[in-house]
Amino acid sequence: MDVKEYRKQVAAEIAGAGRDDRPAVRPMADLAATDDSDPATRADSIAALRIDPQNLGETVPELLAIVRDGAQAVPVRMAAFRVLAGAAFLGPRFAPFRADYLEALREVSSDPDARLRESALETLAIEKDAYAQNVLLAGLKDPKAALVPPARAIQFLGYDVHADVAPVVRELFHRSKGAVKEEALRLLASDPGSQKLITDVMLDKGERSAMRRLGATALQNLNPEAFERAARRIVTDEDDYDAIRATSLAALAHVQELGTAASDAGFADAVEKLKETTKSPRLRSSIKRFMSAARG
Amino acid sequence: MPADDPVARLAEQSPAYSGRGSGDVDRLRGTLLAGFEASGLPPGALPFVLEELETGRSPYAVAAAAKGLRGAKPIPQAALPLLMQAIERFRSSDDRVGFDGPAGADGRSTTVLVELIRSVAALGSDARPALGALREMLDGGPDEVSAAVRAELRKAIGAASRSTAPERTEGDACCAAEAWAAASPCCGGAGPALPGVSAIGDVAVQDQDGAVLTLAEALLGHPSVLTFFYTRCMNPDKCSRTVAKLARLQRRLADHAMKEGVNIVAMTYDPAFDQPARLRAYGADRGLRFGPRSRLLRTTGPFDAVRSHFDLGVGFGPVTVNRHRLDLFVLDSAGEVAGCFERMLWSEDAVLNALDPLIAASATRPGS
Amino acid sequence: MNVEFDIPGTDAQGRVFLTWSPIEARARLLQPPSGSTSVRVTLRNRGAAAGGRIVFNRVRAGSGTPTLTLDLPASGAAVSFWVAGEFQRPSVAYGDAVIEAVGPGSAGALGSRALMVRIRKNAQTLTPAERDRFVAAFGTLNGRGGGRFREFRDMHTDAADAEEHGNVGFLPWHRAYLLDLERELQAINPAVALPYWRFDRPAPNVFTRQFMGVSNSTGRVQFTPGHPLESWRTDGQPGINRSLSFNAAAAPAGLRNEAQTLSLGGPPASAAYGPFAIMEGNPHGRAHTSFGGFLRSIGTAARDPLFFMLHNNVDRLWAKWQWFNRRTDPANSRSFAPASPNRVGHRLPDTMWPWNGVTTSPRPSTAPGGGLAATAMTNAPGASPTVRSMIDYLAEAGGAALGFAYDDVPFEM
Repeated sequence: MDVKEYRKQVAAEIAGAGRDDRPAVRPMADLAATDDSDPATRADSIAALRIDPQNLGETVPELLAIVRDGAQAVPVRMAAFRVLAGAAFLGPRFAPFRADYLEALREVSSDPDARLRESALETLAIEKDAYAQNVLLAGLKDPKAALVPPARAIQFLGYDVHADVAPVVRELFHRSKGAVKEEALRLLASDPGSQKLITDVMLDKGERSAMRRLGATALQNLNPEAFERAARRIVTDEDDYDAIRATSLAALAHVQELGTAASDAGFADAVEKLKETTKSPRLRSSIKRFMSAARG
Repeated sequence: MPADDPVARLAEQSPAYSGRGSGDVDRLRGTLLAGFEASGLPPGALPFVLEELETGRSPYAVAAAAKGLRGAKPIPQAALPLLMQAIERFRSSDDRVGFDGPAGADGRSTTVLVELIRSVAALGSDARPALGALREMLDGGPDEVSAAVRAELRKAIGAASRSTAPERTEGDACCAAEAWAAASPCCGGAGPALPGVSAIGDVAVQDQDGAVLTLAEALLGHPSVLTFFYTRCMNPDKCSRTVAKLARLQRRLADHAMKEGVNIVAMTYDPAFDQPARLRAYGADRGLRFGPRSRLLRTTGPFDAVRSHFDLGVGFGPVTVNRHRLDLFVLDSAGEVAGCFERMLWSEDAVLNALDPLIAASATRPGS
Repeated sequence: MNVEFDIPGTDAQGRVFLTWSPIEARARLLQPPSGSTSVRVTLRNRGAAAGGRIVFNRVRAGSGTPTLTLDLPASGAAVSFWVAGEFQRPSVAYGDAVIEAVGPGSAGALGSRALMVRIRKNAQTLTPAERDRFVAAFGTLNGRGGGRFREFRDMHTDAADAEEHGNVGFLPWHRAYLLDLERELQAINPAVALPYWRFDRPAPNVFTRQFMGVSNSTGRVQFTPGHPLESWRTDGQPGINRSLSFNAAAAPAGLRNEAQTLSLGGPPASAAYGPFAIMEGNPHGRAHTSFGGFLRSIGTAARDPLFFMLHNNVDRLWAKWQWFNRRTDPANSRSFAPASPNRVGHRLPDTMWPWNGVTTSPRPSTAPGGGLAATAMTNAPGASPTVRSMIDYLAEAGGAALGFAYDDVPFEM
């Protein structure tokens, strides 16, 4: 395409969209007015605010006030929160406001609105905030005190491997199902004390396939040698499902490709034999990959 | 020391911290450190305060250390560069902390930057060398620091500019290491009374390539630098920096044509998680070149024997380490401790100096 | 009689990659017919119909033609010509662009060279093969947590915040970061170019189980079984945390769109980098916070592979702004702005952490990853890039280009 033509085209697009000449700061009284009948409009106005490095000093305190203000509609507060979180990406520029921002999030983390609580606690948990960790842990121990659903609480606590949560999560794993059990397993993937629990999930034929695959990932993360042993056991178990056998063999092939696999001639023979007997296309494809890696 | 001695309770290996998460440990230790502001800072607690200022990352613990420092009479001027380093470190990550009321329920009425700058102000005219940096921070304008921090900066500049206190002469200004040397048994290579490595020589270890050997095989026969780390350490100034510095040390030794003669070894505190592949990646990422004398090691069994043998400053939570100090030992060819560096950042020069006589002795020893 | 091509940047396997930036190649005759002093040869495109196309010129210029006639001396002396990818005609696979030399009359084809016009494209428009090779390379780079991706994750942390954000070096630093990553991906599969996620437009093809994954109700990303990113691991933990605050079939709300972003610096006559760089807040920061999970914070954002596609769009916006306003000359004060405060790492002549290996204050105390990855394609910007070296990435002023280009940002002198 001719570049001169293209330049005209881009110029027209830019001209068509118009310059972004919205005011840097809309009067906050206008934005925050609680008697405005349409919170969606106010939320849109906040989302459209021009928060730029140069005007943080004027806008951030006002936005913090909106986030904290329980009398405001939730969409308005969420919009302000999101604008602030975006401004936090300015790193050193946002530094003067960071302490107050985090404090506002701590305040909001016990708000009556579930969405606000969850967003605030997630943001704090990513920062490894001790206050957030304490309230999340308290909620796991006592569901009546929970500020977010348990699966999310486990996920948020997982942002800090140094938090004291593994014992509680191990217990939750055993008495939960669904998303809570899955998040628990993910968190325990970095806990050496949970190696047996994870191995059991991987080997349990009665467990959901997605959970067993997650168990395999978790064990490989925790202890590659233990994973290889368990994976070989699955591959050579004729009674196990083809899908998990294929996944396990593919993972073993990956280890072979890296050149870090423990040598096991007996296993290679078993795989060779499996090639003759299996009808599963997925298993056959994993066998092919493994044999090619093993032959180096 | 009695168990209720607050200084003893600051030690990472104290049973009070066993099984707790890092956040808990920071809070408990921080409460102790902050308490020294009112009760006076015991000399034995000074290294813990200076350590937080030098490498601490927990806003609560660093603010607590800044408060505790103000309990020192007088406040050592050597703390000034460490305070300024801490200010730089938290400049983009200030956070509210609180020390009033019962633990866990207090209002967060101050910030880590505010506490650090207050301690600079408490140094009075001793803070004069930092005047330029303080003014620069203030002149940066509202884009750079919060209103609360600006107010503290003005006070600190005022305090540092006053000439009522007699100005210290240049000779008084000393390095941070000197400030804590008095309180520490083994600064800069003067060996403490620790037993040699041979007492735990049969501990089985595995290196980054999966090779299994004994600690004696890894460390005896040549002088050694032995330090500790773990790959999940979140403090970039501790384990990551330690291993990166170890790699630099290795290169400098190679320049001296000494590389074959010195073992460079770092052991993980977290052997269950730090499997060989993790050790290899961690060392390689930080420039360490592996070889028969340069390894990262994990114990194949529990780490306890190594920890208690060297009285390492490390505590463990439910999953991994909850807190640790820096520990580095220089060992002679027989595995005897010839020097140790603990808690504060060590310099490559100081470690090389501690190694020098050992290398000379090892070179003249027949059959080595 | 044959024609031999000598194209600089050819890699050890004999492969050639072009962008929109012209490079000087040479052609010469082998076994010329006796008796003649020269042979008239025409260079032309002979690639796949939907493949990459090439343009030629006798001189270094912002445009070229699909054919070029050269008189090649019978002495075998080389004749130089300039070659570049034809704007908006990138390759989709290696070798789908071909330079062919044809002789006069019935002499027919005298030589050819297959190559690739390798261009960073809109992720929404990738072919399945382009998409799959990109995610496969990314999965390999991560290596189930054991691969070199670890270094890239370690470069983008809170501890390095001041090197990378909140200052005028934000755009150059991330340009180098993406280039380093892209070259590592190309070391795995040289046909990969980093795609960009155009966050001001709907990108339903991106948020699928085959590509960047679909988030479940707890904010975990799900892939098709066997997807290379299914085994993604960072910080010793499996999986990706990401939840969308927008409908995956729509664009996130509240972001400056492309035209608004491009107009930030002012009209072309006076457009300046300083006011343009406020795009770091919106759309950049706002794009990040269109998600829950890793992307939401500086310290964890690089744990999500989507981060690199998001940032590639940020970089593309800068590149497009540079082209539209002719701000690729670092000597022009409007092409860049003074650092505020005068911070090292954000000024034109400064080298950038971590590639410079500097670990003394105020730089972070470790420098992960070593120097910036090298490529056979170009020797720019070298292992330790400066801020200045990131500005004229297509080498419009001459010299060596950085070796990447965007599908909608042309080379123009």
